[in-house]
Amino acid sequence: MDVQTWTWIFVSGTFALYLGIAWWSRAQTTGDFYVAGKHVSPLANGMATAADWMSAASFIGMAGIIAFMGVDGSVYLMGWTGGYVLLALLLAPYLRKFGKYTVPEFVADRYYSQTARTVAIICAVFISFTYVAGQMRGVGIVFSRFLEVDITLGVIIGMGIVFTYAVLGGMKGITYTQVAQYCVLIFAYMVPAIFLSMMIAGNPLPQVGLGGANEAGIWVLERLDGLQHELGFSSYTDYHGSMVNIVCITAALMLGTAGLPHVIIRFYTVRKVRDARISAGWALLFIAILYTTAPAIAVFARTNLLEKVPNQAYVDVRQNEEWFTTWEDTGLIAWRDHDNDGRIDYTSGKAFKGKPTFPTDEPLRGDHGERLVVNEDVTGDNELYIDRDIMVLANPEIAGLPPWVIALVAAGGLAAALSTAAGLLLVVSSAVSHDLLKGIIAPEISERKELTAARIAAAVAVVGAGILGIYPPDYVAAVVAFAFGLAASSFFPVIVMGIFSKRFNREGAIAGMVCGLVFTTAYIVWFKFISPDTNTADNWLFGISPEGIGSIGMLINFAIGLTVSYMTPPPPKEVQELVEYIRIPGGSETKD
Amino acid sequence: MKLPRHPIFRLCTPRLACVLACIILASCTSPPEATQSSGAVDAGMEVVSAPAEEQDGVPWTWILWFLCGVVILMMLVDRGRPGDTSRDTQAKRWFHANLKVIIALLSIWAFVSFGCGILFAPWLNQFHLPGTGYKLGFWFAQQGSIYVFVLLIFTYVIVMNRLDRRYGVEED
Repeated sequence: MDVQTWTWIFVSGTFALYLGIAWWSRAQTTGDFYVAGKHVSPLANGMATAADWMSAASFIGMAGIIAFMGVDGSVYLMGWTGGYVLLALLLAPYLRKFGKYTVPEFVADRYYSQTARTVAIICAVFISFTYVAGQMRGVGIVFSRFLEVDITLGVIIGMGIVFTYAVLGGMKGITYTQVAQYCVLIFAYMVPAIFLSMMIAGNPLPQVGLGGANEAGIWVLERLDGLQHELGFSSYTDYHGSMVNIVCITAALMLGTAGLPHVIIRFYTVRKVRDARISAGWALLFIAILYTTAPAIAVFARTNLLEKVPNQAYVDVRQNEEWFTTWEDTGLIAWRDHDNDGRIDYTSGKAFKGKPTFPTDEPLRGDHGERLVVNEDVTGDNELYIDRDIMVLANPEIAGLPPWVIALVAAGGLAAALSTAAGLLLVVSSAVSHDLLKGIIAPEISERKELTAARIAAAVAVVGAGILGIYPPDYVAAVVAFAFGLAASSFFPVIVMGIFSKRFNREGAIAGMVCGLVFTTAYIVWFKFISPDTNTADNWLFGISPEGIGSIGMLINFAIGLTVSYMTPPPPKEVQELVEYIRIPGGSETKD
Repeated sequence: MKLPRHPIFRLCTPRLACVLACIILASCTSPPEATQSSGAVDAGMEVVSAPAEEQDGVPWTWILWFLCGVVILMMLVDRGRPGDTSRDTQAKRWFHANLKVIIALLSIWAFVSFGCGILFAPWLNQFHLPGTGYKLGFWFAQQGSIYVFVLLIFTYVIVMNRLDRRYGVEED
């Protein structure tokens, strides 16, 4: 059977599974809808959190980014796992003890203020929408690449699936589908990795294979460093960026991870404080399986690529490597023969400016049959453009793995994108129905009406996300840094201080959040949108790039918040008692 | 001779001396800053930078600053140490013990990720993880730190469950 048939089988099989689970776990009450009735076991919550967390970017994009950045790509590996330590030690147990439904609700109760609630709602909705647009786009891309379906139709199918289980089941439906999706995605990620590790290092565990030796007895990493050096790239295992910037980016990603509302609310769904602690451990363990495999895939893929393509005649590569032709046809690989020798010279530097754009009229192909590109030329010897995103998707093909493995990767990518999208949509829906409607506009609304409102909000959010997926704004990639920067500079300090300081008050929290937000937003908007030409190390504040500025925003939030708090009256007695209450475990267990 | 009872003298503790010593020493040593290439992290290996060879010394500056931070945090936590006479003593003591556990674990967290994974990585890269092809700094950055994170959370769970029982605040 060919790849496409296998893909149809896997995709429709997994979708049927998700829908079955959705029907079995319908939500009856608002408690079910927002926090799955607080009945989720720690192990299941760990899996659901892992699926919730690992998005299309983790599954499809990360290994590719690392393959092209080398050890500098570690900022993502450490940043997106290290945040869980902060989450487990500083946030999860206390927020579970607090026991209400959403992050803005915690902010509102702890800081006794509707203004604080409003700021929190805006942040939560903005962060989640930014993120969800990318997920829906990911669904569309997987559909169009592997099933030859139009991107729009792919997005609509994805919307239909998420709609069914998010609107019917709320958090309860989402949790149990995420458990299934975790199993699908980790299986799909590990199978090709194990194959590759066997082929390259002769060891089934990619984490061990990466440190192992190849058939010739040379360490895999040493071999790659040698290839890099031969072709004129810098070393794979040494840092290249400035240390301050790397530390700041890692910190911003960690703090952002700990402040993302869709991750935080997962810890509201377990039975008791003790379960919240252990489920953070399970979550990180399940995430670590993928995150320690990704660097191995990156190295294997890059080694394969550097062995098979550079310095070969273009016609030979086209003939021998089917994947090269396929991806060139989709426009994600491009070659421009600078020196007209018919060979692919691959070295550091860019082949041309920007992403490839293709001519609209003849000639479409060059002398050797390559697709011509009309981009502006740059000086340098490099002739090859490779899109980073294709590394995971093309990897099984580059290594010549059987068709069912390639199909599995497609199903895994869909599971990763759908599970994250569902978690984010729930944050949007609960922010609207619970915080905006019940918290601010109509406090005496009945439970039934609130549940209906939550479903309508979820439905509207799904459609909104789908539209963003079909008509993606150009800035989607740029705004992901935004989501983390905002989470780090707004939620994280306010929640941590809300738990660990009884003196931190309403004035401090609002001033801190607003200053942190304004600073981070202004910095990112300036360098990403208003004046992208000046986005270089020389112009950055202390040499910190927009990706890492969230950590400075967080410091500003802490500093302003503390100063203002100590200059204004302490919080009222009830709030101080609330802080005492959430600190100590016990007394909030879910009763059967 | 009896020391005057001004609050400023109560600050003169061994830990404060430790912090001051760290700060002075750290300012004297210069940081082993890696090659300051102008490329963004984004650009990664696409930017050819000068080979990083001149930074093989032990990164004392970073280690000292790090120690300094940990001691200051410990001092801050001890300011809120509950006395024997306070109300809800058990719960307060539990929380204080909890804070100490958090600081200890987060120190390891920061040391492994920002330390071994990033700041000390160039220095650690001269060693290999025994029996493998991993350079040590690279291993910490892409594998080791993640394993340590997982271990830290499970340690926290075990320690906290014991603390809960010892101070009588455990759940049903």
